[in-house]
Amino acid sequence: MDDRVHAILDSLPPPRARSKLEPYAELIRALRARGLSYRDIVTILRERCSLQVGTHTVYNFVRVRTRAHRARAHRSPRRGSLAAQPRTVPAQVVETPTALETHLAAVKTRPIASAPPAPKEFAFNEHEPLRLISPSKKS
Amino acid sequence: MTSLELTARKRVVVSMGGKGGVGKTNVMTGLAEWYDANQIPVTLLDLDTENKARGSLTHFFTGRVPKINIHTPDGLDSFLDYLDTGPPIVLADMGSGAGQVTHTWFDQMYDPASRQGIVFTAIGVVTTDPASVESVLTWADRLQRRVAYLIVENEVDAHATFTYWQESAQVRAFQHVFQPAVIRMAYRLPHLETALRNYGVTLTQVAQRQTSVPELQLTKAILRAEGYRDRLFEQFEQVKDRLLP
Repeated sequence: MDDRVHAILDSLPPPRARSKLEPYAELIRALRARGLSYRDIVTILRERCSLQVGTHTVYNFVRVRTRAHRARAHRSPRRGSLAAQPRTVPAQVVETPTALETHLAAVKTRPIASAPPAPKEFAFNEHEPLRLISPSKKS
Repeated sequence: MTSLELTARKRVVVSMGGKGGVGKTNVMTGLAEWYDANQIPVTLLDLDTENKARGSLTHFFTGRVPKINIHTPDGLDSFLDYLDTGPPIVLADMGSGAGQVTHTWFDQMYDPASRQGIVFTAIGVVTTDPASVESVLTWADRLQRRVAYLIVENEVDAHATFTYWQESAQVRAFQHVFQPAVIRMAYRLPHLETALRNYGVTLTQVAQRQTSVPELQLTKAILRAEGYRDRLFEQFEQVKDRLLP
């Protein structure tokens, strides 16, 4: 690469910070395809991925990427390229998870609470004789 | 008093069924009389499976006291049955050797019972015999803070001293942790005590001349019984917070 190209690259602003939802883009897309609400998606991200995020954040993330995806889909394909052929996704039947299934998933993933046994406040060894504090007063 | 005790709706008062022959049934009989005298409704239960007749709670209160076999898996659940259907106090006299069964029941049932507002008092009777003290401490080791403790110093002879109860290191530790209430049951003349036990007659029945037993109709017997009962009732009065819901 010649110096002019390097100079151009160096002059460009740093790339925009990606959303923290980016690693979960495919999951979110699949959940939306199943018909889950944004609130349900937030719950699943919190309970299954330990990710705290607001409902609007997820909504905006999906909307932005949907727009971009649509924009890419409308661009004319390159001549002679395999990419010109539209990808087809095989049709599949997707069932929306019921409220029960969502609840069961939440129960499965909640942490198991196991309180340790309370320590004894008083311990008596019945194999040891009683120890008089004042041996001279023994009856 | 713990916050649970302040809001308790029901109480089970049970004798610590450890060492035999220390006077548990005498105490429980006296306590039953105290409840009666104060018109406090209470269910009496006889959990002494070894003591079939004389000297058992059933013998003193004929017809009023069910006999419960605690050596079945749900034997002690009877506390709960009677609290469900009867007065808010159960007075249960354990037999000796009931420790393991009772401790296991507490391990299994204390938490749900206490959530229902049920509190427990365990009455331990000590004499001059160190074995009676060890029995109380063994129960405390297992029951811990799940019961309120009431200890009765039983004067089994005229010059009883409670050296092992009052001056041993292990007892001091128990007292420090659990702050038991301690009362005294005064010495009783042996012939009177034997007659009461033999005929299944309570101090109240003697004091109120309600018995047909000749030796218990004598004035000296009546006045003795009155004195014993009054002193015992005074003691119970001092610790009534552990005897009521």
